[in-house]
Amino acid sequence: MRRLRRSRRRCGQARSLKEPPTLLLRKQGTALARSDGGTTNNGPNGGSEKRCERASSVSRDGETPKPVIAVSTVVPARAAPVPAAVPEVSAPHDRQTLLAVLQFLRQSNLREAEEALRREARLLEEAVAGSGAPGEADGTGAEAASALLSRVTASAPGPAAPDPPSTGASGVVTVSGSASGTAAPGKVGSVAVEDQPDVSAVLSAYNQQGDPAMYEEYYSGLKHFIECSLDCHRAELSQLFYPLFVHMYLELVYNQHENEAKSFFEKFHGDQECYYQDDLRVLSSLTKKEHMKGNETMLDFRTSKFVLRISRDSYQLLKRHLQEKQNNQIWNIVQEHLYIDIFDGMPRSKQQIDAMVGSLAGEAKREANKSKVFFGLLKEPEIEVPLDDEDEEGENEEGKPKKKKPKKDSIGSKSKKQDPNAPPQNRIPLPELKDSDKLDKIMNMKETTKRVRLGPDCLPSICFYTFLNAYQGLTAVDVTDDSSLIAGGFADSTVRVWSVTPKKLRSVKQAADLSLIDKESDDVLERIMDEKTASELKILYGHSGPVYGASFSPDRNYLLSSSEDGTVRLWSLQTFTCLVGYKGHNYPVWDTQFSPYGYYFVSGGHDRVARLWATDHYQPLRIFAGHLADVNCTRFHPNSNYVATGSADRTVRLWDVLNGNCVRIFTGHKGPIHSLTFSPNGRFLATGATDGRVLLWDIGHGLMVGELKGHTDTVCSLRFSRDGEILASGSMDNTVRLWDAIKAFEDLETDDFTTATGHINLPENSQELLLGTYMTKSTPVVHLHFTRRNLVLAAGAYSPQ
Amino acid sequence: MSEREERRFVEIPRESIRLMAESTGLELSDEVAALLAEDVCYRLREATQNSSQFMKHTKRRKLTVEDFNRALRWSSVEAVCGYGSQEALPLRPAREGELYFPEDREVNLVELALATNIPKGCAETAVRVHVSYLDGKGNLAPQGSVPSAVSSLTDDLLKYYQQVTRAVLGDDPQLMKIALQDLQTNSKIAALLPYFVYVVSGVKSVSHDLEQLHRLLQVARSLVRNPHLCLGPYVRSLVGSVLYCVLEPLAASINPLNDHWTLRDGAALLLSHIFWTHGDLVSGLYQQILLSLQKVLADPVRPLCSHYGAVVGLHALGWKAVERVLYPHLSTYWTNLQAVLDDYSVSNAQVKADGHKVYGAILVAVERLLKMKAQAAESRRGGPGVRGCRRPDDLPWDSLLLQESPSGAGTEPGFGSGLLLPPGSVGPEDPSPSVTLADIYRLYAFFGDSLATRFGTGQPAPTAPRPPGDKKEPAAATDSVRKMPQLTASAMVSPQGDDTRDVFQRSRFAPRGAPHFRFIKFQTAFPAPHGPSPASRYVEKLPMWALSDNSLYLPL
Repeated sequence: MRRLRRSRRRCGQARSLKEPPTLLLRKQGTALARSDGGTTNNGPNGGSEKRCERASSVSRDGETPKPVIAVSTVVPARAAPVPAAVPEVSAPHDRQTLLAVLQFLRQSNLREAEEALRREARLLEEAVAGSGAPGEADGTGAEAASALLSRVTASAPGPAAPDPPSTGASGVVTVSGSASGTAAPGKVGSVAVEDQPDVSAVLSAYNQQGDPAMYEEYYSGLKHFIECSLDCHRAELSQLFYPLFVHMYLELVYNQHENEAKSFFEKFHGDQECYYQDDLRVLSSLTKKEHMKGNETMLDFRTSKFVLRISRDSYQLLKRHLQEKQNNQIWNIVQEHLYIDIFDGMPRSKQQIDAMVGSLAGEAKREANKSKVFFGLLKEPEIEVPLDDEDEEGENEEGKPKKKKPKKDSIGSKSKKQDPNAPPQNRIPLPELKDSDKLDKIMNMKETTKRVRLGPDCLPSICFYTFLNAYQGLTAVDVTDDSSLIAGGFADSTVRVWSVTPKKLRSVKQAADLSLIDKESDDVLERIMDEKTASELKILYGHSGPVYGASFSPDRNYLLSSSEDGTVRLWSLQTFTCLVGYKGHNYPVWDTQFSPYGYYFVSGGHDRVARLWATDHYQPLRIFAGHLADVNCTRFHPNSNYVATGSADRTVRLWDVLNGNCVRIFTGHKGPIHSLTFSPNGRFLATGATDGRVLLWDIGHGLMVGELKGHTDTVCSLRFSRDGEILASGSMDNTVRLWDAIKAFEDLETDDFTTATGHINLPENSQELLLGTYMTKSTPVVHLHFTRRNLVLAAGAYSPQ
Repeated sequence: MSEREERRFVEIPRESIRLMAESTGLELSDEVAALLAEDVCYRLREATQNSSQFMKHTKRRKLTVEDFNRALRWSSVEAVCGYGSQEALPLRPAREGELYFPEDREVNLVELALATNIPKGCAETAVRVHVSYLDGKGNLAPQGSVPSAVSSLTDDLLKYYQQVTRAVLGDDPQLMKIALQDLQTNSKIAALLPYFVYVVSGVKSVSHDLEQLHRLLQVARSLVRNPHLCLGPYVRSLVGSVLYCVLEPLAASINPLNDHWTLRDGAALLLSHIFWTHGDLVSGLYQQILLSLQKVLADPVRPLCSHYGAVVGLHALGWKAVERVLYPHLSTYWTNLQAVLDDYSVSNAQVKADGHKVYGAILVAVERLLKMKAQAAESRRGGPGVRGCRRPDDLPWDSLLLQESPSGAGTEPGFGSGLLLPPGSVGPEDPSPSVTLADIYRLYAFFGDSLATRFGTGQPAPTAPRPPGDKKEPAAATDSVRKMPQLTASAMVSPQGDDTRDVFQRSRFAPRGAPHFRFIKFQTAFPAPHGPSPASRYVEKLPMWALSDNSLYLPL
């Protein structure tokens, strides 16, 4: 086991050595991120947003192809928290003792002794400087010092210069300032104070070190108080249980009170909401301070703020209680690790709260979802549809050639109207349409006229593509928009492409053969194809780990695949060879998807970030950092201006491709999110998670608008019908379910009040919305697709039990 | 976690740690061992936690060794090799108890290397499409039914399939016989069933080749008779193929020299066999078959050979089918048939010949219907003993039939081709027949005495010519049971046939001249009919009927 530990450490070194030039930058980036997080007092979300904004701000002008390469050096976000919590080699014990002594001296007004000791321990000078300077024994100073104690590891003695004494006025700020050195946090600090008005008074008598034996008492005291409060407040205040529980437990573990921690856990873990079970399981295995270093879940808790939304009344009640009881231990945690988003008005009901909570870091702050999102569709380029002979013939056969024209006009006029919610046409530079794209669009339009109008009375037929003999190794599936090709990513590192039409897959001939071709001939494009090797299946070899994501380009010339080996590969479907391997994630890449307009693609992986790439750049154009756990799935908005990511931290985020900002954070899922899809009109988002629920979101208002319950296992795939009338969901429970999307979005509560407060009341109407449940025979539904005529194609690997 | 849940975690005792340390020559203090043990447990839990992410993304519910190894690899720990097997490793207890270890048998590499039965490679990954739900409604064939067969198709089975199909469709009759026999008895060909069903469905593509059609039908027959096969959803497909042979105007029937009639008869018999043995597998199958037969019968555009098929099909399905479908339809159909039969033009000769076939088939079908009806009526009345209670308004030949039927049931079991039910069982099974016996006698309006004659033909005993004294048919109404067959027999053998013609004249107003001659012909051909199956009997007999009856006029 020693070897195990050692090798772990070695790996850490190896990893950082891999990219030596970025090492320095990364540290800085980390520091920046931390300082942001600390000073703005806005928790995990704000912090990381800042980070990515900073990261991408270099290319504000929106010329996407000009990559913000600087960004990539800013870090795999995964690495970010690590240095923060790593204690220096010197025994933390000593430092703690020193600080404790210093604190005592200061409290006893023994200035000289204090100074002497400080001089002795030069090491700690900077750390204490901020708080020590004012020298008053008023609460702020003491609190600052004790805050230091609690974060002693964070205040790594480094380049951080002594802070200007002026900042000492706000203790909290100093603490974070000492860690960053570059922050200019004064003004932001005041924000924090504004948010929680009477902070200093409450803090005046707090004693951080706290008796470990008292933790249980504190917690049960609060529990008693909350349980005895009025019903309307109880639900809101109950939100405090979980973050407090976790932080108190971690504090105990961190301060190496192992037995107390264990008994604390055993006593109170039963009170927590059931949807935190997974996190609690991780927590319960964590009993040693050393273990906290590598445990990412717990690092998130310590470095990010848990967001709670509480009405002002409830908050006042809590504050009064804590003041009365002099319960500083808890207040300190509330102050340090929680972000309480206070709103005026009625307290929320239990149902309202339950709908929104569940994510790793609490709810999204209200401001987080306030920015404007251009969710409308881009104007379609006008393509004159040539009424070619073939087309006319077809019409004549049907006997109504005149009907077609007005129809086409209506389609044209629809696209001519500019959607008021659409982004400017050139907000993101998009590739120009090639002739072949135009042809495809024309084909699409023709098919559109033959599309089945779906509805509760007209359900689509479902075709199931069963992967046989896949030996449980099918990990990803994609189908081209015209439903002519199907690709499967497998656990054996292969990507296989099948033609599902009688047309076989042909690759271009070898160079030697190509040189023999008469280049002047009319059918040269036909001649370059190798008829001999044509087959209905082509296997693409190149990855060195399971392929978790696959995506066809809209023009069907390329295929993307993402793999456990940390790369995303671009394959040509002309030669069936790999063109590019995009490296950057360094950890398994869980998903990738092409933009609906091609050229760009997005990937997300175990390193907790999503990256935006362009096919002709080997480095990412944007890094979307902010998720606290793996990014499981990534999807482009139909207008290509936004990217949605679903994560194991149980949140969904919407990112602006233009500037890399996080513009929406959706919380409410109780399990890792594994599927995402946008409605065709771009207004709504549907997400599916391991808890078997599908949630519907209104992007414009940033609200949850529906909950579809029915699946009993992870929802692996989601897809709206071409006109958005039906939502199909496929799950590990071997069923496909169809939901009435029109009804689900019919009467939305998007009045000003709901929008402003974010309080939603979800109707319990899953059963009414469920149009059908379709069983497969022990075949998990990995992928769903609507053909252009609205036939459902489902795919999965037959896996006999 | 409650205490019990706590124990779900791996706990490695410090003793184990110390033992492991000792095995590498290290001496650990208790304290160090305890710390290490705890750390190891934590690391294991952490790795397990991380490995679950790999499981989720591989869309599995089962955590595999591979997932765990991946998690280890990403934590820069060497993977644990040798546990990649799909099956769980059996843990064996040591003799001392309390100690369990995975069984790790020695593998004899030499043996393995020299082994001749090298395991075959895995089947190729493939994609198959299946329409699971049409317009939101379920498809009847369950998804995966074909895949499971495909996936389990071994090379041996494939070889068997090729051999059998080659033998059945090949030139060697001996081989064919063996192959069919094996198809009928082999218990291991369940996986090939869809393939053979598919082969049988090939009838649609070889409708020009009677020989092939016959053979494919034989394959179908063998499959149906194989007691080890569960036809399940394939019944429908088989029935479809067989019905095709029964009903379709096969390309082979264009040539009048081709005996497609036999094929139809055989197919009809097979149809009834499938229905009687496997009808319960598919709900509504009977109705469906009846419906398709009826549709063909009611469609005047269809060629006569299709109609013939429909009639023999109905006949094969039993007299109730005849009663339900053919009987109500007969009056309309008759007009059409009569028109064909009345056309003496040369160009119509072939069609007319076909028309006679149909006529004969109808006759046979109706005959049995009548018989069964009479039987049923008889048994309702209290048995065959009550002969005298005739209804006054009965037709003249009514009593004859009534009295004839019990004796018929008793003496000629072969005629009903096994479908004859004992008189006792008919009553309860059909307590309220939709068509009364009296109604059915209207059939005589169509067939007249040719129907009556038919009754006679089956009678083995009285085939000998009778003295002409019995000629008086109307008088015979009051005679004994035996009279009727005797009469008909005599009518047939009579070279002049004058007397018989009298009888005929009651219902048809046929010119007298021609029939005489034809009856003679009929006579000469007559001995042949006692074939093994009624179907083949028609084939032999029907041309004669055609000749003898073309002079019939309908009273309608």
